[in-house]
Amino acid sequence: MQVQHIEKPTLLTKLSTKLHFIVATGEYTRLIIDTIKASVVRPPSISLVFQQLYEVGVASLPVVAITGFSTGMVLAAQSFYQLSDKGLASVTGLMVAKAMMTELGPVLTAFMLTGRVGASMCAELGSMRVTEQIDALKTMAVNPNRYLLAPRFFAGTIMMPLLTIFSIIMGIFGGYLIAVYFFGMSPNSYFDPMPTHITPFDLFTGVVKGFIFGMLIMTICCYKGMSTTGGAAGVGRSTTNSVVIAYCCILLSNFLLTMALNILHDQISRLFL
Amino acid sequence: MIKITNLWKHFDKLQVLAGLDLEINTGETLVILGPSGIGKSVLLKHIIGITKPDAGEIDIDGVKISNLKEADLYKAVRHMGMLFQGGALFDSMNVEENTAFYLSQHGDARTGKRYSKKETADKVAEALEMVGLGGTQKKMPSDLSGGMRKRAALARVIVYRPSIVLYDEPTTGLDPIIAMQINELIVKTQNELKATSIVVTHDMFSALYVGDRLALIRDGKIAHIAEPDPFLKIDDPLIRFLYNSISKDPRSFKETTNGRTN
Repeated sequence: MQVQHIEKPTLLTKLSTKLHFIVATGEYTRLIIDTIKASVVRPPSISLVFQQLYEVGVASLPVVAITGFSTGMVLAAQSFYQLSDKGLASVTGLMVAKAMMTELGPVLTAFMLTGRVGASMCAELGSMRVTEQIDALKTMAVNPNRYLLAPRFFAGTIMMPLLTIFSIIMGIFGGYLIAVYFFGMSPNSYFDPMPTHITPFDLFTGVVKGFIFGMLIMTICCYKGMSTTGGAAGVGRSTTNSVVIAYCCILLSNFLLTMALNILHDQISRLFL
Repeated sequence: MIKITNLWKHFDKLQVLAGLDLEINTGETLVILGPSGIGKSVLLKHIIGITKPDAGEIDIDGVKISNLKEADLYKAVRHMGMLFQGGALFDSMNVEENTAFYLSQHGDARTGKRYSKKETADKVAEALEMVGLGGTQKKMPSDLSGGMRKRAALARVIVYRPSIVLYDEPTTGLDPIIAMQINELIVKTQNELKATSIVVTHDMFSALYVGDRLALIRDGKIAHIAEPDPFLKIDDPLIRFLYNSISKDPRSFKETTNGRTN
């Protein structure tokens, strides 16, 4: 092949190769904006949205149930063992509910969803990219952002908070079974402290985190899928990267959200109480 | 008419297109020849708007494709179709859903007419019959051979009757019998649709079989362009090499199979 070499790459070209992270962040942001714009101009088809709602939500119920249930059981067992000799066994139920609502419910659900749905989406989109199926969509005058991404973004952000609530309920239920049937606590002592110490803000925290994590998982995994290059090996690399990046973003944003939501809670409490 | 003026494109340090000029007349079949990796497919992707040029202009019937915003571009390319080298069938859909995809999204490319489910199924069956894949509606792309996938991809294009059809290496990687079937299908499609066709290939047999005019791309530009007979007389080692690589001029063969292709 006859190739001419470009003699003088621009400063911007030089910088873009050195600062790949900044370029990727820009591309990621642009992909989200383009997808939102394309969906506003012409919303994606309802059938595609329902298909994704099923794929992300309904099909994830078993794995989220197992995660929530087992985490609730472990929390109840650890709380009981750690607290009973200090005379604090009665707060076992409260510990389980608080931990599930504010931290473990949203984070573990997000992890499971990243593994089950995010990785699969990234691999599917990446495979479509390297086999020119996404180009084929464009040649048939179909915007891939609207057709492929918008239903996934929508399904992820709607379903993640709902799955988080489901996971919290399963966790409290799992904790209840262990506390009552294994450690012999009465059902009343498991549930009694909850109405006093669990506030709607705790559930709100879980739902907000679920919403943000849902957005992060879908956008990161879709972006990594859509930017895949390099054939089958590239699909593998993109999928691994999407899961790792999504996990890191979930953990980092969880800390930031915990801080922000608690500060917000304090401010609201001072204003109204 | 498609008019390409001073088209430039680079990828990393590769200057693929370097001031390419080309005019394609309405209704003709232009074959673009050249070895692999020279920028033929990149040129096709520019024409249909998938790739943006670094500089230059592509004018299709008065619409400057290269300058359009994304939303306008999707409207502008509705009357165009492209056959990809690997077929690019949608893995998650069966042959029928693949073939019906454009119709379900936009209706007819020329008239914009929307079709009922029954009409769509009939159109799909007709297109699949035309490419010799009648009865394969429920098969998944993974169940098809390479040649069948390419023919199904061609059915997906011709079903909506585009006025411009782009073929990216249509016979590459196929055995000679299937390749000949694809060549015949291109001619048949051309006769039926009266579309402007651009075929990118390094297969001289295919080029002479389907082309009204032939062009050679080299160093990011069109080096030669002419009708088949004058093209073959050009004193260029690559043209001589490509012509000598085929054992028989397919145009004589085409005359003997005329009844089948038309």
